[in-house]
Amino acid sequence: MIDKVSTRDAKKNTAAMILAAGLGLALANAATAADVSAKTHIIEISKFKFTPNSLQVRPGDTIKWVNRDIVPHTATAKDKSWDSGTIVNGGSTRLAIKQDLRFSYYCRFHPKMLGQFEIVVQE
Amino acid sequence: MKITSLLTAFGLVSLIMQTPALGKTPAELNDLQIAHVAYVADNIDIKYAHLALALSDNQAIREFAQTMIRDHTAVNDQALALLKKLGAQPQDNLLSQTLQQNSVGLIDEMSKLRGAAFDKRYAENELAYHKAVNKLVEFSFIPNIENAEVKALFKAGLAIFQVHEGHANMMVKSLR
Repeated sequence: MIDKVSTRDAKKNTAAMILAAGLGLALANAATAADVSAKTHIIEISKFKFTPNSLQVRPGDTIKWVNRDIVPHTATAKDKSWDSGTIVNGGSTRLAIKQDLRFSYYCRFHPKMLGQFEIVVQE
Repeated sequence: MKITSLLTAFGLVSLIMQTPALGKTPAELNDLQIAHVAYVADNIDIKYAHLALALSDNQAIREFAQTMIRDHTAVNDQALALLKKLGAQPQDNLLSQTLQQNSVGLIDEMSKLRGAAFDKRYAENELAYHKAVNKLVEFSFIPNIENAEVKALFKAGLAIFQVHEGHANMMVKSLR
């Protein structure tokens, strides 16, 4: 469920995405309205806080956590139904939002670090 | 003032008074000596954590110990990278040596304990250790560090260790 992306991998992915953009205009034109409106929400982890600490997302969106702290962190569902694994300094992790996801989370290594997102169902 | 009680916590007062030739106070250490003390202090806490992993079956204690190893290793890696960038080497000093000596006694004491007695002692020591080191870093080291990058790293380190202190406090309360 969680797609871990290191900074190095992210650069490769960016290059691949640019290439794909050049070759795949027809595919882009065929994208559905839902795909176009999907967003990636960035959550910065810094000074032992998730920022923003709370946000609204829609099914199909992606949340990307970026760790700016020296020490590793995780983003882990309170009910343990999903877990980012270790996010090291400078690293990032993505989570694709599905309607039934549990939305309260914390850092397994530093349990006082809490965050949440609200899943808003599209009309 | 408060520094005196810190030195007492580390068992340093009599040592410094008895050895005036070596007797720099923590506030008088240079940046490279301060870096050495911090590196030693990190490694001591990593040793305590390994002892906890070897002796404790308590899940909360084990998770805390793993966090101590993970976080203090990360901080030390950053410190070494910065010193390498600056082309500098940490300098051994009396405070580092005293911390090291005191930790040997504590490890010896804790390694004789088992079960709940060990867990309680480990948690209490983690709280006391982080409290003492945090005060040392905040009131003696950070105000006296000259290099801006070293100072910034110590400020970031202090924020991390204050979180550890809070976590240790929570652990101590849960074991009462």
